[in-house]
Amino acid sequence: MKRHILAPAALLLGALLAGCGGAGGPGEAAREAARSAAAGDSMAVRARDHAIRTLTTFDTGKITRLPDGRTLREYWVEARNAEIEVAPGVRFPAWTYNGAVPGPTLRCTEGDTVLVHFKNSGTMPHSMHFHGIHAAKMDGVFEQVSPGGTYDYAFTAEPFGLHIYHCHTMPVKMHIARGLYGAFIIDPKKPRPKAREMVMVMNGFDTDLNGEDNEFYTVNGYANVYFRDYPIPVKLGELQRVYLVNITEFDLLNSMHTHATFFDVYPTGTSLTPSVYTDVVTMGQGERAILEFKYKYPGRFLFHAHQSEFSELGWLGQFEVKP
Amino acid sequence: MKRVLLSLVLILVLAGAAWGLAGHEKDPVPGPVRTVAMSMSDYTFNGTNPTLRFKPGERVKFVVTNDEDSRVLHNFRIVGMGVPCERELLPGEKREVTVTIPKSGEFAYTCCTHPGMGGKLVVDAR
Amino acid sequence: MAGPVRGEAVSDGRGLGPARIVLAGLLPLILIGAMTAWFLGGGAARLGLVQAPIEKLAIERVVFRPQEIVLHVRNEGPGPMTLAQVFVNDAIWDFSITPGRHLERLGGATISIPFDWIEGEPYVLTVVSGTGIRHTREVPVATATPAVSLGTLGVFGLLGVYVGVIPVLLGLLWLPFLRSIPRVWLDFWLSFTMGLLVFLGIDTIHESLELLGRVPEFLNGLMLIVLGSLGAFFGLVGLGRVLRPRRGDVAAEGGSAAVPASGMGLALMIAIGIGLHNLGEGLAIGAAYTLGEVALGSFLIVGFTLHNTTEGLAILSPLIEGKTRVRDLVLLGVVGGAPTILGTWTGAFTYSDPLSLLFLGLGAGAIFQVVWVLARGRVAKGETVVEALARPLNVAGLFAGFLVMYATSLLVAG
Repeated sequence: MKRHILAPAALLLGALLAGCGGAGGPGEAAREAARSAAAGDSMAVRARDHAIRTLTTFDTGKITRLPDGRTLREYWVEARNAEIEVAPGVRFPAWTYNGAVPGPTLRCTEGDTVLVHFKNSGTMPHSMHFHGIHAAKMDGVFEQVSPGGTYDYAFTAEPFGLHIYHCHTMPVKMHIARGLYGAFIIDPKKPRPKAREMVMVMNGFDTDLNGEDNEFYTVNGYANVYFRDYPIPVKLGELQRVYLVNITEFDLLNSMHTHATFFDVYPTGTSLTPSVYTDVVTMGQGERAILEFKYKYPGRFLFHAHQSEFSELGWLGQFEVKP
Repeated sequence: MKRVLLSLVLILVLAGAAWGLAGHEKDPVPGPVRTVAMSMSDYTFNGTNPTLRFKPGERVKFVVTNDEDSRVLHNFRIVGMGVPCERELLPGEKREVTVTIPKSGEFAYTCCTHPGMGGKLVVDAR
Repeated sequence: MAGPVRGEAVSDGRGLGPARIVLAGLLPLILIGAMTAWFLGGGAARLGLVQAPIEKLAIERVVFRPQEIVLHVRNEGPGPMTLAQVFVNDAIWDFSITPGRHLERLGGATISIPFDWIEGEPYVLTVVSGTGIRHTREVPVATATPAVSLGTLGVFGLLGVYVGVIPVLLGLLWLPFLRSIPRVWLDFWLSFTMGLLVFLGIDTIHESLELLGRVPEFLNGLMLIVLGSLGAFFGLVGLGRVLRPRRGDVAAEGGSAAVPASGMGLALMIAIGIGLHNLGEGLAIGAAYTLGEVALGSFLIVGFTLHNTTEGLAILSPLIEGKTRVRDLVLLGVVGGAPTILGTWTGAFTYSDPLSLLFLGLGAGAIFQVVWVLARGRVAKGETVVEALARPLNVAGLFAGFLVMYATSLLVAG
């Protein structure tokens, strides 16, 4: 009798052991959870900090005076892959300039000699295409930079205004959507009136990579960052200047609307005279404008895309106006 | 009689299986109560809409006060923990609600009337 | 000594001792276990076999409560996943989640969304995972999920009574009619019953196949159907052994120990089979109402009612011979009809797609078992089942039964 029971019992035990050897026991998810919570928290912090820094940080380059009196500005920009957080808990495998989206805001003065040392540390060929006036070889289209390669973009900064730079490798849709863009400011020789300046780069993230639509919309790379995490402090009555860029892929238009204040619009920033006084500015992809406004009343005021579907997917912020 | 009983048992067993599979959670056992004060002012909870952390099974009493200096009405709820929005509070009024923290999860606490006014309540794993 | 005698166990020299038997059985399993552990523990990476991250989240159930939408979700993918954001109609929304955002393989969670939904309107619910992938479920018509209360239990119970119990009992009223017509027509009526039940059985399988798409793949819905069907089929065969004909029932031709050939025993088996089927039907009705997928029009209820009245007829056929007490008839009606109530309650309050699939499988298996019993009952000495069914009265009955069900099903369509 005993003999007949032993064999099947042993087989059963063996089967159970083999089963347990399979893909991760119950402890696996708990460990994974702890690991990703720690990693996620730091990714969230990085995304938030980058968005806050991008708001008021300008890379004015390394300045040297050339023998003929012109100013030379040198910048170092590196294309590299980086996993970033674009909305709380949501990660995105981005292609970035200098490790985050959007890339650094490069700033110079009209007439400066600009020299951008570009290095491609990514896994795909990339380039830098500047919106400006420059020679064909500096356009970033036909000269593609392979992974590991470098290229120096050199040109005279013109015309003054708010411009952009982005990757121009085919398929351009994908290279832009993955995060390779940033703002490029050329100040007029006679500087604009003193104002508190901010950079806002409007974009979208196609997190499921279906190449058709965006899951989240943001300003400076993190959904709702200026609504939840960092309401932007504004001094009552002080002139605010926003360098607003639209680099949203997949959607034809994006816009910005301010509550309780109207702004002067300088399309592309190429004129010192505003074109219109309004509270909604709409732009196609690649368009940009400088907005100038003041707040008359204190309190919390929203600013967001007037395409409500974008504002409800992350393009929402608030100004906290205090005396 | 045997046949009748058998058939009824069969049907009851099937029904029992249905209810059983639907799943019902058991409530955690209560303990001593901890008081947490929440001040609603400037359209925030405690200024920063903090992430609150508790241990599973803790008994927590939320004392939520409307500390606005102008006539702004607020209320308080915790989504998914049986604390619904109730009557709105005038400045100066407060509401007390005691809950037992569930076994695990992340819960949103919000003011029902003001968008963005709210934060997370996280149950720490043991 | 001669070689081993036929029938005796072989021993010594060819077989293994007990310890060796265990080892022999375990050895391949141990090796498989070791290989699996190595593969998953890093061997896969070393071989260069990359795992494609296929993520799959099933939104199994959507519950609408006052100013709240609750999602019951499950991770159906091959690895763990993290849930990050929730959209309602493509807008980021606050939510609470329990037990937590991190789901193991096959782990589930409940997501509560404070949302002022509107009765009767469509909603698209999306859960975005940590990797940015959207998992969506569309609700064509938002309907308040009934909370269990005396009132709602009563309403859905009444629905089950009206659609299930009453029609079956009404159908039983045909007994005097059946008793009055010439005996030779017994074959016809039993075949009629078979045709009826074949239709029901196929219809049930069809319904369950339609539901397959909504059941998480890892549960292997098709096998659930098969499990339910075979379970019911063989379960009832076993039951049949217990429910032998009582003393005094007239034994009709073709009866055997395992199958009560006629009388109360057979009627009860048919009633149980129909009861199981009606459990599935009740589930479908209760669920359709609360899932907001079918407008429960009065036309639909009438259709189901007529459909179920003819089931009463099926139960009657074995009772034409002999006496039947009224309380036995009532019992049969309850056995056949009452499960509808359990079905509507389950469907309304605790609906789950996989459970529904299992019940439909059970219902189909039960039906086919009864058909099989009836078919064997028609067999005279020396015939095969097919030959028996080929007799004119049987053929006529089969088709008549099938067509009647077809006609009444047109009323239920939609």
